[in-house]
Amino acid sequence: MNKHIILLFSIILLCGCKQNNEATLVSGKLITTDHLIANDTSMQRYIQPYKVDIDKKMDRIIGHSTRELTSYFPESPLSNFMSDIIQDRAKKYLEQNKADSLQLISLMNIKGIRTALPKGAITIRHIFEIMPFENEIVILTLSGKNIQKLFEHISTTNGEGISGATITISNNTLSKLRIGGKEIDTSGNYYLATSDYLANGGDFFTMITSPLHSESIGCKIREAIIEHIEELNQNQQKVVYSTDGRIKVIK
Amino acid sequence: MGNRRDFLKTVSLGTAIGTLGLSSCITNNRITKITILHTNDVHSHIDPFPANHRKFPNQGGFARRAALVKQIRKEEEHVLLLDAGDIFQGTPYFNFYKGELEIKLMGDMGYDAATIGNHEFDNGEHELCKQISKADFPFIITNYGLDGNKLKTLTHPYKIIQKGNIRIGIIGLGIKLEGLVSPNNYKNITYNNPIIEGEKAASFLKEKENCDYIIALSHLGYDLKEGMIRDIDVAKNTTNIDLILGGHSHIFLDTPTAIKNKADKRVYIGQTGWGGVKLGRIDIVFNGDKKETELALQAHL
Repeated sequence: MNKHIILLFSIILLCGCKQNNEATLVSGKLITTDHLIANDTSMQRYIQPYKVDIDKKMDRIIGHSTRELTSYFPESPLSNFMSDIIQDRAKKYLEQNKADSLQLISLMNIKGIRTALPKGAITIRHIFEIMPFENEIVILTLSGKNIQKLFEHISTTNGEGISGATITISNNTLSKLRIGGKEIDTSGNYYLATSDYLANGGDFFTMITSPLHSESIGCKIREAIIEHIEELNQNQQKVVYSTDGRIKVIK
Repeated sequence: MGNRRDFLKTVSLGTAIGTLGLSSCITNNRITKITILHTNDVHSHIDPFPANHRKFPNQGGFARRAALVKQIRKEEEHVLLLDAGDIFQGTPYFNFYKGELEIKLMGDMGYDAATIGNHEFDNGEHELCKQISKADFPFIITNYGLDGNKLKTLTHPYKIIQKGNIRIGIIGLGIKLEGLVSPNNYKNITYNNPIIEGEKAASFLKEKENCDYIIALSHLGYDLKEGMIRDIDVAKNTTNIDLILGGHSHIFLDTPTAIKNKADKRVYIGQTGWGGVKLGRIDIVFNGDKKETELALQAHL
């Protein structure tokens, strides 16, 4: 019996020796890179010309905001602001091209809005921070059925940036939809202005990825925002925005 | 009584053999400490956040991180510097220079490896290939099928890094791009199950390549999301991955999360938030005295 035990122990120990080196995690933490850490001077020197170039482009003041505009579900000042700008820009494009025959709505995904617009002076940099992506505005022609599906989807995800329509969500389902103040015509067609990112399948808006027609209006969302704020500024107006109950949630 | 005598005999025999065995083990394996530094979702934040930033006033910045890493390298013999993806997108540096500055500075800082995040595709695959081909460090992606894609020759399915007597295998786990990246921005990339592919690569590295430790650089995201495989799922359902350095969900894990894997062994997950405001530091000791290391662990965690 003892022989067996010795054999057993030997096997275990031999295996133990042959096995990989034994690892133990002894500490794990996050170190904050704050002002207490001095810059690596050679790296900072390398960054400097890039920074000067960027700062020149970014620090130009384009307008002012009366308060901070933040973005959150289901409806927020910033998501309303951005979807209204898309709506406005698309409307102008359709009018110029004498194609404004269908009802227009707009969609801006809240996850695509990356930060808040601060109170006070607004610079180009702020707009890049809100909208870093190079997404362009596209106008899709969609059937009423797919528009209905779109708002049903938005109800399950608890809201988005929308313009030209109002909805009521109860228990994550769409309980009321008005487009331009009217009931939806599921046998008709609609225009939807949104980003090429969503139109191409981003964020799983599958009901809009096969439109009857799609047209890029040749304007980035970021450009539309910058131009809108500059226009306000030229008219001595500030950005004033809040929620207006276009998305209601009933629990 | 008889039982007790047998037991005592067994113990003394066991101790004798154990001591012998242990001493021979020790002569083979010396104690090695590896310091793993990591970032994720830096999102082109070359400069620190502005002083009036609500969440991260005057925090972050590449030149500071470079100094910090340099300092740690002075203090520690074996240092690894790793990134878990989404290097790109988030500041005008990316809009204007397309990621070349991020890649250059990470090379200068001495990054050992990075994986690919979904935002790496924001300027399209062609532009990503252009940036990766300029990088001084390898991009590792294990679970993307890349047949017919230029990324296949520019990236690595895994990488082995030797530090002292320790061999560290590094794999890269990428997120499903569908729904996150415009389909025009990637062609010929198939997303394969990261649990299956990760385990396959990790067991290969341990068994065939004799690696001691496997680190997964992951851009899958941290916790549960319906229909998605995330870091916690990978940790629970594999046996050969030891440490997951995650990203995508922008979570600040002040200390790594410990998860029991399929073999009931502890696996750790780290994530450093985003924007480069934190540098993750994980110290691993190989072949150290168990009691001592466990005490040290309790003190730190």
